[in-house]
Amino acid sequence: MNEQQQDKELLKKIHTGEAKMLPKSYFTLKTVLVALSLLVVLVLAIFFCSFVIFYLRASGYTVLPRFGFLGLRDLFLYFPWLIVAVVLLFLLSLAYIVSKQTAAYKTPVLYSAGVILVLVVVAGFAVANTPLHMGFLNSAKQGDLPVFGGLYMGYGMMQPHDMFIGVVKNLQQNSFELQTGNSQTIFVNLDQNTHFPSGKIKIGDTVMVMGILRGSTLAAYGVLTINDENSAYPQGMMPMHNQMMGGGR
Amino acid sequence: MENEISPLTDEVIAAKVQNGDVETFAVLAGRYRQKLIRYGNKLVFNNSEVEDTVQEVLLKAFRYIQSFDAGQKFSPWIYRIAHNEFINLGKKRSRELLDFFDPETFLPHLGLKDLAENLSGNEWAREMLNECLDNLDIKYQEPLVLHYLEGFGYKEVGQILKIPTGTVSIRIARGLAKLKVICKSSKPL
Repeated sequence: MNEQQQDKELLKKIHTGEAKMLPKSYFTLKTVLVALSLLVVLVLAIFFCSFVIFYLRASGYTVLPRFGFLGLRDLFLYFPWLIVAVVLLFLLSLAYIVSKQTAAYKTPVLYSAGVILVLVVVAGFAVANTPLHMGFLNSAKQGDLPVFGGLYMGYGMMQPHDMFIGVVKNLQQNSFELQTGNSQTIFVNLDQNTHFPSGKIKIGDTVMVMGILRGSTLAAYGVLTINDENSAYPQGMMPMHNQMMGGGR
Repeated sequence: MENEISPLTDEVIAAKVQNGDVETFAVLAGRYRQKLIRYGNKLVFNNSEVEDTVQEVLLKAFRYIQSFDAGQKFSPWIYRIAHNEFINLGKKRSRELLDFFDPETFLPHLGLKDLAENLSGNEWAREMLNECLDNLDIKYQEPLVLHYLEGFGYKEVGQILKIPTGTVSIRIARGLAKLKVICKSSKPL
């Protein structure tokens, strides 16, 4: 088919309506849908990012680095990597959609991805400081949170193997007894490697202890007082797993 | 009609089509058909489907004309449609996703030093493109073809390929360097 024939064919398709011009409203709607999907992905990314922050705080893991190398190791082991991967996936999707659907392609991907990352993390911290997640956690406990209930229950029940919270009783030079929320008594052994990031402890203090449990004896590598406002423990929250297990001070 | 309308720019004609003067689209089709066939032939190597694909590109351009911003240049817009169609034709769609993770797109400034041995003369580049393009990676082919053979500036090439201008300049510089090697090895003196 030569060029003239092709032009004729083209006009014929236009005239017969085989090739229809899409109305402006179609593109407006498409833009709105892209913007909405960007918003949804952004909100989800912020939600999961804030959940990671909330989880780390509520589980007490944020204090682990203060317990030295073993604390760092446990923080690495108990870190919610799966949720972090989900957040990263959302971030990449956002960066991809933004670079392909908006004028952001003009800037290097690293810059637009960086801006999105900062936005998500800052917003994540802001959301983590609201009562949103605590409210969701409470709803999840009562079975009133349909979609994300499993997330809160699953991570809430994931208790670190050897983290305990309780009240100090019968304090000796190299040991003390820890009375936990469910009236269990654990014998805690201390040695020169045990970290006390919040200073010395005294009888009656509520403490968080990390260590290696053998039977009912815990060889502690870190003891942190959590019963005063200056403690590293955030917002006076009890660790999430402790709430889930019905424990307490 | 071509004579009456020929002094008009593509953008003005596109605006006329948007306002319902669908006949004038034939003028745009006439202006771009051969250019797009040439572009397609460079990218998909004289594939017999190129002409049909260009017809599809023109039909798509008509269908999507309301999404064209008459304040912008028309040529990068229609070449963007053509780029997508040719990529599909060459089944190189995955290239788009790979592009996203390409270090040259990720942070183009990293490669700016490479531009030192810059493009020494368009004629030389055109000649190499015509002779040795076939063995070059598509990611370098397209910017080279669009810049040297289709006459687009770096910014417009970026608009068509949806990559930063810095990435375009890097790809053109690296593409030329690779092309030089390919040409030398295929034509030993």
